[in-house]
Amino acid sequence: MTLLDDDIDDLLRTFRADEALLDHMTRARIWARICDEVPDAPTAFDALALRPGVRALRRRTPPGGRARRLGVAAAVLVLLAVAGLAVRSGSGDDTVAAGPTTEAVVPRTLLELADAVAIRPVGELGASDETRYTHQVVTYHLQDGGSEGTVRTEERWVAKDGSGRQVYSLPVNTDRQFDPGDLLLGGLPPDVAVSLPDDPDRVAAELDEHGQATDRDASNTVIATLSFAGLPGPARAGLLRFLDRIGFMAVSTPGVRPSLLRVEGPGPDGSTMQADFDLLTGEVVASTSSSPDGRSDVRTYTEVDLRVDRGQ
Amino acid sequence: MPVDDHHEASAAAGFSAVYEQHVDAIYGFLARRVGAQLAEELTAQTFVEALDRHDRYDPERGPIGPWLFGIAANLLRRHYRQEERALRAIAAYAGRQPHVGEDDEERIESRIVADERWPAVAEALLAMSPGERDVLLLYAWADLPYSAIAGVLDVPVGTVRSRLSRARGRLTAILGPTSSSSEDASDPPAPDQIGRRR
Repeated sequence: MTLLDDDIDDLLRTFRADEALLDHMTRARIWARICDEVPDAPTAFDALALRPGVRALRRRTPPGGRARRLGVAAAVLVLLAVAGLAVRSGSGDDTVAAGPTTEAVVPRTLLELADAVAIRPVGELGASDETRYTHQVVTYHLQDGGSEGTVRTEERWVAKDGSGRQVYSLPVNTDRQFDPGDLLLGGLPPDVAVSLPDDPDRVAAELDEHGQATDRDASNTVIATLSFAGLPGPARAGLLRFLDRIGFMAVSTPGVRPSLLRVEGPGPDGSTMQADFDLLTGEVVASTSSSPDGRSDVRTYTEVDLRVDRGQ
Repeated sequence: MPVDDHHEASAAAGFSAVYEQHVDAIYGFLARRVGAQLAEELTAQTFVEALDRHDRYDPERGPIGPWLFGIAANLLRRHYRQEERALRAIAAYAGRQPHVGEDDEERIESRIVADERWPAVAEALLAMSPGERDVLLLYAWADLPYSAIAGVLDVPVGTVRSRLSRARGRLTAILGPTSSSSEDASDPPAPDQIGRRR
């Protein structure tokens, strides 16, 4: 057998080639490591030498995002909200119980989001025995990058038969009843949400299709209230796979806990959207959306979070 | 936006672009040599060191890619033992035949041929000095021309040629005889040829 040098090179190129592939998750973890190791406050010399500080790096959307994912990203956060509440429903609880997040996790998470302008506990939504799920989405419209804005909220109740009530504020208040199979304001058919915990592959397909079809409004931040308490492991894994597929970045939160992931992706109008997952429990402990001007809005899920974050 | 913030943002944008352009190649090179877990750490270190040493990079001396590989190669030197452990593990599979279903044979034939040879390749890589291995793998996996490899390893181009020749000799001694007709070691491949290799 005669081997040419080219044959050797070709053979070498196949050697361990599978290990050379860089997936989204790893790429984002590497980026996070770099951000962690760059000094938080670069010296004046560094700044003059155009050495980016971590603030500037973190303000950038992690590399690899695509503009067309924006609608998908927003839709995913909305549906994740629905998913969590869909799973939690059935317990009959009228209030949202504090999640199993520990104090070791929550304070650091929220401190990292210290520029939050709004942290609100959620749990006042009413739910009857007939309620299948409820959720609230709060959208902040920042005006011209200013500090003042308006707030849109959406609240939704869905009964076991698929009918329900949806309240949407801004630009005009709406309060409508819907029947099973109706398309809700915002375009989310309730049956998609209901299917979420049971069939992650179908959910991924539905989310994908829905997100691409959604014409998002001009808001530059979207905040969803999220909880995956009780979400079955396969469904959680499916969601994470899907998040990865559409380009969300799952980044470990250094120094906090290995199981805590920060999922980050592009949001509308250049904003960056994040959700902090506790993978041990499947619960999202906080979500945030950062607008291009550096302003962030944060949504946390439990009253415990609120007390800890304010720290007084 | 204050001037410093503007500069900082510009620098971050530039760094982000460099990261996006080169992270796959750097990670791929490192992952093949020391595995995914350590490669993740070393890739991050490579870019952090690039930031720290950015004032030492001279664009007139060449593109930034080989410069990044130089940093990565330096970091790798602390982990040769780990690389060799992985190679020994692969070499230990020598003689084991992959299980292949009858219907699959044609479809994955080329893959099997490669798989069957991997233990031998690993054995040959183990038999090389770290310097020879560096040259061979920077050539085959990083697609660097001789002059860039010389810059990465801080050795003369002639040393690159001789190491590459010896490395190929060790491979062919195990895999089979070679005929060096396709590329003479004294004649570096043209950049466009390198670009077409992947």
